[in-house]
Amino acid sequence: MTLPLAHLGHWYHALLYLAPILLIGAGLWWSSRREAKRAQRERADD
Amino acid sequence: MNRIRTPALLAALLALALPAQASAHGIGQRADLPIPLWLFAWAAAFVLVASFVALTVLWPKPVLANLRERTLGRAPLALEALAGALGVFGFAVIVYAGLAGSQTATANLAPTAIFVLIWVGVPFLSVVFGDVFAVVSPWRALGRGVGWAASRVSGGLPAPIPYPDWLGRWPAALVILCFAWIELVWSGRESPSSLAIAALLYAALMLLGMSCFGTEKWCRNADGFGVAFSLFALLAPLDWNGRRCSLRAPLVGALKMPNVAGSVAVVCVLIGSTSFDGFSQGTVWTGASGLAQQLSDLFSSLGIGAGGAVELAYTVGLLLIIALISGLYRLALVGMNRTGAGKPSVDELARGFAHTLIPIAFAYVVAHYFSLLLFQGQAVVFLISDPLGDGSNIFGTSTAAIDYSLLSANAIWYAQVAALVIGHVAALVLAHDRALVTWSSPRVAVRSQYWMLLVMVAFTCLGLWFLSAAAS
Repeated sequence: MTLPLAHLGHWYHALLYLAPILLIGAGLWWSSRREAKRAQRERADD
Repeated sequence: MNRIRTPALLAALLALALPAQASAHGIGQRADLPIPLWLFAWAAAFVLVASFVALTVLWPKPVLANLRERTLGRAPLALEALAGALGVFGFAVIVYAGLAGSQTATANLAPTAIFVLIWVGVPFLSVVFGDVFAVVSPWRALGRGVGWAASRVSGGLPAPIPYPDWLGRWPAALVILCFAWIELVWSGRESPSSLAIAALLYAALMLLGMSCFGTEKWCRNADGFGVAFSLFALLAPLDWNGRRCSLRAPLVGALKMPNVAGSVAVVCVLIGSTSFDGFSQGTVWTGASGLAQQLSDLFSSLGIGAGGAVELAYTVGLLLIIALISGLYRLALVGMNRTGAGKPSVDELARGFAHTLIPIAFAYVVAHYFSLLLFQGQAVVFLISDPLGDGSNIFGTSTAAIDYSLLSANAIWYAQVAALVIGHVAALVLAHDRALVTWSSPRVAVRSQYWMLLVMVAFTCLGLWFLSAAAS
């Protein structure tokens, strides 16, 4: 199988549909990490 | 503030600098949309995130399970019997038209009745009036009729075989998969006589199953159409318990989704098959060097005939998209399970959150098929007068035509986007409420739903990409 690299204009927009998923995924991952660290700090303080 | 404004400005400039989507192969393009199609996906994702934040702030306790229904009244027994008789009569007409009528798909009532009126029309009726298919189902009506007659003549039928719990709704999932294969893959799908024979075989299977396991048990678990339509009916404001009718708040009905084996598979097959219908119309699949062509070439090189290779390629595509949908749902469950420190288990979560997929399944049906129902549904007006396509004019409407100016392509696109966004927001609401019941700590409940939010955004963007691809 070959990737249709030619005619970029026909398929580049598919990547733009992926962008919100990646952005929100990264945001949620960062937020989870921050909350996990905060919970760890709270446990250490106790 | 500058930290937000600068990236936003850069993103806007980048969006404007991107070239327009190439559409050299397109026909029937939408015109004058104010923004590119992909920006709708970004906007939809933003709406979902905003809804998630609003739920976190404004919905701190479980609410849906505490909402009560209000009884409206009872339907007369005669109405139920009449609806059943009507269902049997309608089924007989469709099968007769398919077997005896013209074999041109557009001139025969059978294909339009099966693929448009029943498969697409009944879900729309179900989300308004409740489980209408249960009362018009021809096989259920026949099964109940036989049971009633037997009770009058010989004191009743022998006790049915107990239906195995492990089997649950897996037969229904298989039936929906087979129907989707017929609709989207099978080369004989446009042959009215082939469809009629398939309908007769299915009816025979249903009657056999009902005679072994009992009418209600079999219809609730193995009749793919009955199961699918009953799931959509859970979204209806009207709840039918036997002949008693109650009014309920939006989304409350989804909590009543039976917790049986195969329930998740049913919804995933529904969403996946609808998604594949959209995907298989896009250039990524159908293009000159698209996936369908490449897969067909691969199967042809293995010695399979041209027709068989195409059907096999489409079968693989259908199964892969269903697997993708199931995989995304599984990803959300695994994420939730990890957030909740392993409790409940992934399988328990799968059953506990399965009802959240119902509004998504209906949103996909609306997004992909409502224009089909709107336009091809009009064909019923002339087909009902000439069901065999032999030039008859029973009701005087055989000269009616389809009015394609009812709705513009842009209006259809807006309706599709709205359906997908509303469906996924409804799913988020159901998941948030269930999370608050599942985890005692609201903080854990909210964090568990990060995964659900991500998967909902993925479903929405995927759905919009498939829809946009289908039009390009």
